[in-house]
Amino acid sequence: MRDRRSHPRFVLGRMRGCKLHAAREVIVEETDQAGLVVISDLHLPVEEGVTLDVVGGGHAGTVDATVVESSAVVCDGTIGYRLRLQRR
Amino acid sequence: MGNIDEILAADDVRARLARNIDATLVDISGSGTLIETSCHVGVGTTGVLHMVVDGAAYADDVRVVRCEAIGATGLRHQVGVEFLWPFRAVARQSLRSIGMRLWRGGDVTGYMEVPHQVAETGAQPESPGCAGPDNSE
Repeated sequence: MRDRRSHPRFVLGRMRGCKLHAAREVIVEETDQAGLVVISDLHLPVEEGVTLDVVGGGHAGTVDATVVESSAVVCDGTIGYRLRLQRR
Repeated sequence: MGNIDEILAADDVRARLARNIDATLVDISGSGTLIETSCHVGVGTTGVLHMVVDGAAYADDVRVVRCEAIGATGLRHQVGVEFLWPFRAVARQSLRSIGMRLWRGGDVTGYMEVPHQVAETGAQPESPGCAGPDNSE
């Protein structure tokens, strides 16, 4: 990797307490009162707390949920993950 | 803000799944940082990296460019992220601005306390101050 970096790196010690608020686009497959099912290209562990940001019909909203089921599925020839989310 | 069920029932619904991942900052540059997490984070994932130092919050929009399991157990992952936008760098709360100032040899005091932990990669902290660039891989 030497000579390929555009900027030198600096070590600031091991700084714990960082948080990465990471987001991926997903496809909403089913919804009901209890929760919803989305198709993601990444596996998420059961009991993981997530936030689903949705836009549609000219409106936007947020759903706080917990992953209660995760299973691999094939979508358009690629492996994806079917995540069942329970609203919190 | 519309009713969530109405939004979810819309024909043009789009969704983004977000989660908070605890991380440890390993190193930083003017273009990105290396962090360690306890879970895999997919390449291409975008998000915001937050850090609080002495009560001051720092953040930047980032994109994951690589993720590799480390150690024998594979439970830890090193995640390379690049900063997405330069605009935040003008703000005092920018992580990127810290990397840029270090690159220019500037004093980061006042931006962020860089105490005794500043040291070469893999070495124990010995002296305060900036240890200089680490271009090793």
